[in-house]
Amino acid sequence: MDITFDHVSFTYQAGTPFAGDGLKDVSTTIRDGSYTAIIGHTGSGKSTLLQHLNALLKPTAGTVTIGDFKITNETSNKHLKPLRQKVGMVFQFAESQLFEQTVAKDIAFGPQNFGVPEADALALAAEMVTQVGLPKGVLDQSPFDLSGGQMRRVAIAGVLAMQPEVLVLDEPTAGLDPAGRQEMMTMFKRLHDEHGLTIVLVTHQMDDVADYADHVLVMEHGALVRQGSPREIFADPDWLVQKQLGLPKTTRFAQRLRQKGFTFSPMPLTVAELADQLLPQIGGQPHG
Amino acid sequence: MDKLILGRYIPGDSFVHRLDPRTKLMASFYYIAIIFLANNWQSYLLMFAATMGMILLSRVRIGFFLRGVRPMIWLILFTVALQIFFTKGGAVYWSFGWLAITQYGLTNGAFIFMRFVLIIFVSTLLTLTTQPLSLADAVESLLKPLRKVKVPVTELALVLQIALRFVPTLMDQTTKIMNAQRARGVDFGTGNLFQQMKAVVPLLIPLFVDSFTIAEDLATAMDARGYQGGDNRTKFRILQYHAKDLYAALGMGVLTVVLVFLRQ
Repeated sequence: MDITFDHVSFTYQAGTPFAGDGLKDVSTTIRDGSYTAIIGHTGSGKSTLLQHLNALLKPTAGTVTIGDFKITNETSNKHLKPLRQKVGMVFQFAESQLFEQTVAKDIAFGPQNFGVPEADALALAAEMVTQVGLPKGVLDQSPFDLSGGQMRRVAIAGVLAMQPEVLVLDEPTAGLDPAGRQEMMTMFKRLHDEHGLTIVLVTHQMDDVADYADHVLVMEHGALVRQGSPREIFADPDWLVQKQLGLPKTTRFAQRLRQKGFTFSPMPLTVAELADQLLPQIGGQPHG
Repeated sequence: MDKLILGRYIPGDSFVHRLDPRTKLMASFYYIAIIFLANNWQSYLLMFAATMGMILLSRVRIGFFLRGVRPMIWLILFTVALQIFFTKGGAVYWSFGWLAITQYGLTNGAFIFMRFVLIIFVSTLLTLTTQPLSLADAVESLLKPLRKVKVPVTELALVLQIALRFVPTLMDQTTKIMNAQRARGVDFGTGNLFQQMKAVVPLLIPLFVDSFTIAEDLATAMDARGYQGGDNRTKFRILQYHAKDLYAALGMGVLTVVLVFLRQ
C-alpha cells in the first residue's frame, strides 16, 4: 500500500489569528514495504506529516493518497475507519494511551473497535504480548502497575494487534534504556522483514536511520528539503550539520579516520560496513 | 477548542497591555457592573463608544473580539428572542396567540443584546491583553485583605497559578491522547449519547492518570527546590501602580458620572 503526498500543505488553526504553519508543499511517496525514516530538528513538521498518514489531520491543500483512499481537505471523517486499521500509529510516549483495567483488555481494545469479536481479540492480545517481549503473566495485570518501559511495550502491542499494513512510529524508543531500545528496534526490523510491514519511523537517532531505514526524508520548517537513501543523505555531512542534524557514529568515526589517511568508498553507515572496509586497509584477513 | 478566543493572550505593547493587571481586573469588573446601569439608548451608546475606545487603545484587531462573541451567539440570540416575545407593554406590532412583539420587547431585546456583546468584549479585552500569570498575581494581590479572615490566599494563588500554567499542557495532552485513541479506532462525537459517553472513557482515564503523575512529579520537584509554603516567601514579579493606572481609574470615574447623568 503506497502512500503518496501530492503537493500537501497544512496550516494549523487555519482561518484564525493563531494560524501556524505545519507543512509546506510536500510531495513524496512512501513505497509499500519500505522502511522510511523521517528526520529533522524539533518543530520541523515531522509529527504533522505523520498525522497525515492515517488522516488524523487532513491537508489544507493537496492530496494524500493512502492505498485506495484519497484524502483531501474535503474528505469527511465518516469512512476513514478502515484506513485507521491499515495504518497503525505509535505516538510519542505511547504509554499515555493505556486506560483499560487489564493489559489484555487494553491490547484487545483496538481490534474490537474494528469489529474483531472479543474472544479473538483477547487471543490476539496474548499473541502480541509475546511479540513485544513481555511475559504472558502481565496479561491480567493492570497496565498502571507496570514499569514505564513495559507500559510502552503494551501500548505498541495494542497497535500491532490491529494488524496494520503500515506501522508509523514517532520516536518509539525515546526515554527507553539502551537494552530496551535495541530490543524494540530489532522487533520492528523483524516485523518489517518477516511480515512485510511498511514502517515509517520518526527519530533523532541517526544510528537507527543508518542501521534500519532504506529511505530517508529530511524535513525543515515544514518543508521536505531532501529525500533519498541513507547513503545519499549521509554523503553530505556538512549539509546535515548545517541543518542541525548529526551523522551516525560510524560515519563520524570513518570521517576522522579519513583525515588520518584511510580511504572509504562508499562512506560506511553501519559498524559491519566500517569493519569490512577497514580490515584490508590495516592488513587483516576478512573473516567469515 | 482551538477556535476559542476568550482566555487567550495576544502579546502587544499598547496602553492597555502595559496597565497593571490589578487595574485591568478591577476595571473590567467595575465596567461590567456599570453596564447594568445603562437603561436608555443614549447610555448604551456611551458604553458602546467607551468599549470601542478601550479596544482602540489596546490596538488589538476588532476581528478577535467578534470571534470571541461567536461561541456565545446562540445563547445571546435565544435570550434576546425570549425578551422580544415575552415582554409586554407599549405598542403591539405583531401578535399570535400568547406571543407578541411589542415596543418594550424590542427595546429590551436590543439592550440585552448590547449588554451581552459589551460584557464579552470587555472580558475578551482583559484576557487578550493580560498574561494569565499576571492575572493570577493580580487575583492574589487583590485577595490579600482576606488573609485577615483566615482565607489561605497564598495557597489559593499557587493553585490558580499552577492550574493556569497546566491548562495548555493538558490541552496538548488531550489532543494527543484523542489522536492516539482515534488511531485505535475510537470515534469521538459520533453515535448516540451512550456511545459518545463510552468513547470518552479512553480519553478521560489516561488524562486523569497523567494529571496524577504530573502532580506527583511537580510536588517532588517543588519539595526538592525548597518550597515550604506559607506567606513569608519573597516575590519575583512585583506589581506596581503607575500614572497610567491612575488615568484608567479617572477614565472609569468620568465614564460613571456621564453614565449616571445620561440615564433616566
